[in-house]
Amino acid sequence: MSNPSVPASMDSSLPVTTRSRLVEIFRSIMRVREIFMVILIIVICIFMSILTPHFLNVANFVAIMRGFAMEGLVVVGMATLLIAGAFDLSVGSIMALSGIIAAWLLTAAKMPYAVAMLGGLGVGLLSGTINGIVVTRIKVNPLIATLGMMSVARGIALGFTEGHPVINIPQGFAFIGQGSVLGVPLIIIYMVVIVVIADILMRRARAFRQLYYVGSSPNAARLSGINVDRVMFLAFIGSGVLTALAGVISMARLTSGVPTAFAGVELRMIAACVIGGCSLSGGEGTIFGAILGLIFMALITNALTLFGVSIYWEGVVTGTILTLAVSFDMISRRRLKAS
Amino acid sequence: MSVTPLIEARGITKAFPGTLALDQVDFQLMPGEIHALVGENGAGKSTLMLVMAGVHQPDSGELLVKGQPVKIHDPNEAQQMGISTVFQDLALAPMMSVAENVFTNSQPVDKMGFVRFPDMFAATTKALEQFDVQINPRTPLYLYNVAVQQIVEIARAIQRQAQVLILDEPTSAIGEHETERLFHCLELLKEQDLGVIYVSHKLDEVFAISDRITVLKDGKLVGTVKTAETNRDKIVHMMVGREVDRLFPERNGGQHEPVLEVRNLSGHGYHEVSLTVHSGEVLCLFGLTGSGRTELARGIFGSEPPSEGEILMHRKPVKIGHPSKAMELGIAYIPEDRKRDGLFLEKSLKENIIVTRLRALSRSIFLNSAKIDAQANEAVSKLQIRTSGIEQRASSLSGGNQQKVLFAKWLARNPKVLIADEPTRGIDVGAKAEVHSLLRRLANDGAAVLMISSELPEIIGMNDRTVVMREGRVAGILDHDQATQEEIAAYALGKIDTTLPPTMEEKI
Repeated sequence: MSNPSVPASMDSSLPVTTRSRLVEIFRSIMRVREIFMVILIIVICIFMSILTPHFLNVANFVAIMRGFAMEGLVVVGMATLLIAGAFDLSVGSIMALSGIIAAWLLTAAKMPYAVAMLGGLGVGLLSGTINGIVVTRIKVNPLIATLGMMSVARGIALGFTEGHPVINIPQGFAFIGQGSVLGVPLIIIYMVVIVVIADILMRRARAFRQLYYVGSSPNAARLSGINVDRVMFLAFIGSGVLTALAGVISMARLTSGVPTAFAGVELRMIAACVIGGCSLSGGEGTIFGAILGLIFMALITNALTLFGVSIYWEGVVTGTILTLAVSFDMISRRRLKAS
Repeated sequence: MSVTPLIEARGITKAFPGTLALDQVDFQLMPGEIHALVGENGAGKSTLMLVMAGVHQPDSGELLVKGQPVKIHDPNEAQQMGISTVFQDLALAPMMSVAENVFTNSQPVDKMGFVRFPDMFAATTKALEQFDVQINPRTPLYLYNVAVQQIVEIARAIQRQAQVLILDEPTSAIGEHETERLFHCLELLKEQDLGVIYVSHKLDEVFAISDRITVLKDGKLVGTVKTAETNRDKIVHMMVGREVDRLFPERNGGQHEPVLEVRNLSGHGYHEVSLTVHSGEVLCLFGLTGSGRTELARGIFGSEPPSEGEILMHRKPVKIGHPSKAMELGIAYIPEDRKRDGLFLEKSLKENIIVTRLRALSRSIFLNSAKIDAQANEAVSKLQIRTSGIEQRASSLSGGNQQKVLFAKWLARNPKVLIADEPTRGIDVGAKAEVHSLLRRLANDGAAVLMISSELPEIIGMNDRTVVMREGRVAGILDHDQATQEEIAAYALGKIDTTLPPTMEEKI
């Protein structure tokens, strides 16, 4: 048999992309979920303004933002985890437990504010550490690891308080959650600051870009010198601490630590992130997008309230939207790949 | 030799439980050299490669990088010494931009640790230009095909100042055209005095690109020879330790009755395809990557049902909406990607073999384990699957034996039509010959065999007739005597078969 190798007639220098530049630009814009979400949110706002006079005013907007401000911190943590290819089901329980520990330190133990705050954050640090160790060292699937933590943290919150709320939070501490500066509620300021910082870091800082590599392909990341386990571990701790911060501030805002509070928050947060462009398979999404997803869900809640629909129906709407959003994403991606 | 080798292995020995993977192996890579590493599966070439890549540590022996003895503990350390490996399963982040894949975790940053994106994009464009590919560095990588992704990996290695580039079966997932471009890239790297270790099963490529060839067999070094001073037969002889005078089983039948007829079939990736497979023949289907050959096979098998056109079995029109329907009709399909689509890797060999015959092997609602074991054992002995037993997990078998398990699974149903998509991809020479004779035996026993392959020598050796596809259409149909490598390649690259009527109807 002759040595065939490759026929010499083949042209070796062909460009790979043949799409026109305009199409390319249009496609890359449509790939940016944030733009889609902003348009969607604007459309909802316009509709709401037309349909009800109660929507378009500062008081309603401030109310909406206060409503989701603390969830915003949790979303930052959850989005970080989703980008790295994991998630945390224990956030709702951790919010409740951290609030209760801080409340207990303030009331029963009469500790200074700083100690109470640190105690509450310590809950997040500890749970994040445990989640991180169980997932990265013992290699337990995040679903199981954080499901366990969800149950344990909720159990401690309930057992510790015998199910009763911890009340009589000092006024000074309550200011952290209720106060405002120049008419802007503090909790909105916290959220905006944290979201902006987190978004910039995740977009531009090399250290934080590692999260995307880890989520995209853990193997590729490892072979590229990224310590995958450490990155994931730190993401769990970051998420835990942010969640605890949200829990303590929420407790201050409500002036009570409620052991049964924030149940179901975890799924709401994951839904917000996914609507905003994160993927459960990791490597995708931005903090900004996740926050837009959260704003979108908050708007839906607000709309139902304004129209007098019972809040119990909210799950139907957000669930449907979640499934639709992901379905559209899958379809458009298949198209992109085919072209 | 006055030049210091870029990397040198001296007396490397590595044992795994049960096997001596490497036994006192020596290897040298010079600057500006493309050094091919060949051997049958299990010969130790992967292990040697992984030792040099830092994945495995040798039990004894020495590694020298540029004359200095070193210990490489992990792939990261290897990279820092200038040794980059492009693994067969590409190590990329598909959702991230091309640029961030070229600069994985080494993006240019400012004092604050923030990535300088414009610089990174510019550098990426420049890095890829030298390989004659125009890729938008901002585009997510998953939108490009495997061939481009491979070049991105090579660009990443260059960006990391790699001086040694290890390529593991680089052409296993790309077509001939992309292979050509890859070779062009390698030639460029060679001019820059890089050393390339080219691990491959495909001897044609090895002869087309390499300067020297090192042959391993059963973990031992057989020898290192200059490519220019040897030939294919000698290398095969070194690999298998015997003269392979006739690699392919003798053809004897040729066509009898049409079994599977496809008329103007269109679907995702293929258009108006017409072809006929007869009982007793091996019809080969050749096409470059993207020619639609695999899509066509999946369409016929009902995995992605075609949108238009007709399929006839034994001259009767049939509708195949699902693989189960195809199976009822007696069609079997061995997919291209054995591990992803073919096997239940974590299941036992037995369970893999019987999956196509669950109904026949059960009594009322329960599976009959005696019958199952009997059938699995029969298949193992009939196909000479080398295994410790039918309970062995499929993932622990060698590539060739995995492929035999796939054959066993379908042969249990006595298929009338067997579609085998790249049945010899990534398996060693000995197993290849076994697969070839298996296919031929099936045809001789009256089955219609459709073999998809992108290896021209294999097609030349096996075909009774050859269909060439290009851009989703049939470009030409050749009889055995017409089917030369040059002719097939010409059709695959653009020659139009003037004997084909405009409707692309095949003459019978």
